[in-house]
Amino acid sequence: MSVVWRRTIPQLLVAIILVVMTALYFLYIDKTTKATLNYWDGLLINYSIVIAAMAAIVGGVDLARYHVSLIMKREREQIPFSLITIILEVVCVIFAFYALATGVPILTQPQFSWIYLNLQVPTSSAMYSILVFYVASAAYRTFRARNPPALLLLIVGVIVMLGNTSLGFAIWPGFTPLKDWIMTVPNAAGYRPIVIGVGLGTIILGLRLILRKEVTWMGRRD
Amino acid sequence: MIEAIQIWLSAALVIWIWSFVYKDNYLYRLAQHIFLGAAAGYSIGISLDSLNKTALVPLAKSPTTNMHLIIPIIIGLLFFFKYSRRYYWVARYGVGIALAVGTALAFRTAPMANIIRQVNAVLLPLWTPDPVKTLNNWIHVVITLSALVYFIFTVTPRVVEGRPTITYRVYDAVLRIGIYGMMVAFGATLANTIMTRLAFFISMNIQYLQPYPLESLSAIILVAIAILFAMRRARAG
Amino acid sequence: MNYLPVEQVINPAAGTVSLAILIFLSLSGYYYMKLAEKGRTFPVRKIRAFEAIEEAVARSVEMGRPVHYTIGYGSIRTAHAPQYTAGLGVLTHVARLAGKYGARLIVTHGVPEAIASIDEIVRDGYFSEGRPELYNPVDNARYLTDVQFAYASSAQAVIIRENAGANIVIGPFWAESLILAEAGTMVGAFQIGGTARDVQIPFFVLVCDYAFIGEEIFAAGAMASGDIPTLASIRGQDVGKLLSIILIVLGLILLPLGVKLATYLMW
Repeated sequence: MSVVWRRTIPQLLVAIILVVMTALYFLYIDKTTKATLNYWDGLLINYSIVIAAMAAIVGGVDLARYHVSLIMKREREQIPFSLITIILEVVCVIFAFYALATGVPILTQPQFSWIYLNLQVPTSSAMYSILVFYVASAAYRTFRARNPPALLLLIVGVIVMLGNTSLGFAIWPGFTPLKDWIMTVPNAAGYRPIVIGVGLGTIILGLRLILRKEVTWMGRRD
Repeated sequence: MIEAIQIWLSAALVIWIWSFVYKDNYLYRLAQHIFLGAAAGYSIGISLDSLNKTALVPLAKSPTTNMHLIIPIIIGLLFFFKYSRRYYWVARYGVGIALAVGTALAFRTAPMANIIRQVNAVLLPLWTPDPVKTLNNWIHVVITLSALVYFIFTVTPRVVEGRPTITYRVYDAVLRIGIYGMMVAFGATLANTIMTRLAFFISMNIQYLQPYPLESLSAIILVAIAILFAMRRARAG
Repeated sequence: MNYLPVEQVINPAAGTVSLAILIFLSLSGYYYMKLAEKGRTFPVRKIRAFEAIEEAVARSVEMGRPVHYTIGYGSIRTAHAPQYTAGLGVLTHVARLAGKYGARLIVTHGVPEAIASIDEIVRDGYFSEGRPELYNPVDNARYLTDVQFAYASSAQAVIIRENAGANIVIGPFWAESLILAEAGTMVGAFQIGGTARDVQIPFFVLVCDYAFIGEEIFAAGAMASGDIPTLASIRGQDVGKLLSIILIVLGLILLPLGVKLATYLMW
């Protein structure tokens, strides 16, 4: 197939959607026109929701495919684990289809929600809280590394933590006002340029997409 | 019976996930693959639900007016072409539309949210009757401007051999203020994050482990055996 | 012919000044890209984290260990799309280096829309460097899931079990940032992290050998392209920073004179 279908049209599609959605956002004219513009904007967003949902389904297939390939490789140790992943995935999908077919909201489908509440929620919460261990070891290493900026980061971190607790107040009452000062002055000031920079990076990246200069998302160069 | 399994499973999964901090072992691997399978199934389920709500139900209700919703479904199906050796590029259409919508959402709001609101927040009075407030406002402005200079990539004073020029020295000082200002900000965020995580960690114990000492203990014993086994294997090479 | 007044054409909630800034920055970016096409070059400050990528890949090869790369999880249709794109940009660079040095690259992620792109980028890296035999689609690019901690638990397991020699994490990250970085530390991997999600930057600064701070990931994405006009577009970002500095200084000068610039900017 020609390069037009392979590269040019997808790039143009991206450029056009970007320009159109920007125009839809900024234009007003009058109330009824704005309502129409919002409708079109919402339509494009809805399209992307449907596309993303389809992508997640393809993702699920891709994961299953990966684990099937591991089983096919006959890596003895991995086979039971891959089987568990595939079986659980398939079971969830069956219950999801069952919910759709019977018109039950998916999260209230008893089996689907059982798996969610008893397998996913505790593991998910455990992963979130595992960070407590990681933060401790990361902080310990930074103290040993003696890299001045990172050390400053850590000292401020300790001050703010002490300022947040009654223990800190008991050691020195000044920790609380110091923490408040850090939060309102340097903390607010330090993040502002980062936010500005990210906005600028976004604008210029958008520009490159419009000008068809940003092509990494297409993968290979043909 | 089911409830007992439920309680034991939740406690065991929590402990097995945590065991990774000490060493990777079979029970972590089990918990990880259970989680992966359940999550992948959940993700597909939620996607099917969203597909149903956004496209299929409206299509079924009034097929003529909503016929256009077929378009994103077809484009979504094109993702499967990634498995084709010849027509791999067809998947790009879906990627492109999703990327364009996402970028547009950020692109069109960036000037207001990321530039104007931030600039406005720095416009503080530099001379006030309150000396403390004046000093704070100065600090705020100086840190913001210096860190902005840090992010300038294409205009930097030339580095010269021997004695650095005054411009270079000023630039270097500004850069340092910017970096250290950001580090203070990072430290504060780090502390707040640790505090919330710690609170969550405690609530996890209260919810899943403390009320069920026997279940927790049995899971701990099992994982200890798994870790010992993993250590023996590692030693054996 | 009657023209509509500006305040009617432009949505007041979106802001006329915003649109003006958007157009101005786009034009300046375009201008510098055109200049670059005509042969003008601009000095670009070195970003240490970017320079370190090659060392990270080369070291991994020396140690006979793979390079792990991730762009995070989530959906590309959200406002975080630019950060995923920046992550993909740096991935092109890493993939080519993997091809050049003959490294085994393992990309894990949870962005379903990007599955095809990532597979292709990795393939292109090996093929363009003349090492097609090293490309193994199933091993090199692994989609995990788009559920946050399921992705994180599997990604950290990959880093540890594959004994990654380098761990490069660039994209938008949430609470999983430290999980990924700590997993790298556990196996003593050379670590490079970067995100524009402000709350997560501290973790990368703390744990990684090199960290991209905020906007630097966008600059790195442009640097990775190796394309001179693309690189020149970074100067457009700098114009934006100069504009911000000017607006701040101007606003501060006008404030004691009783003129509130902030009100005008909100127009």
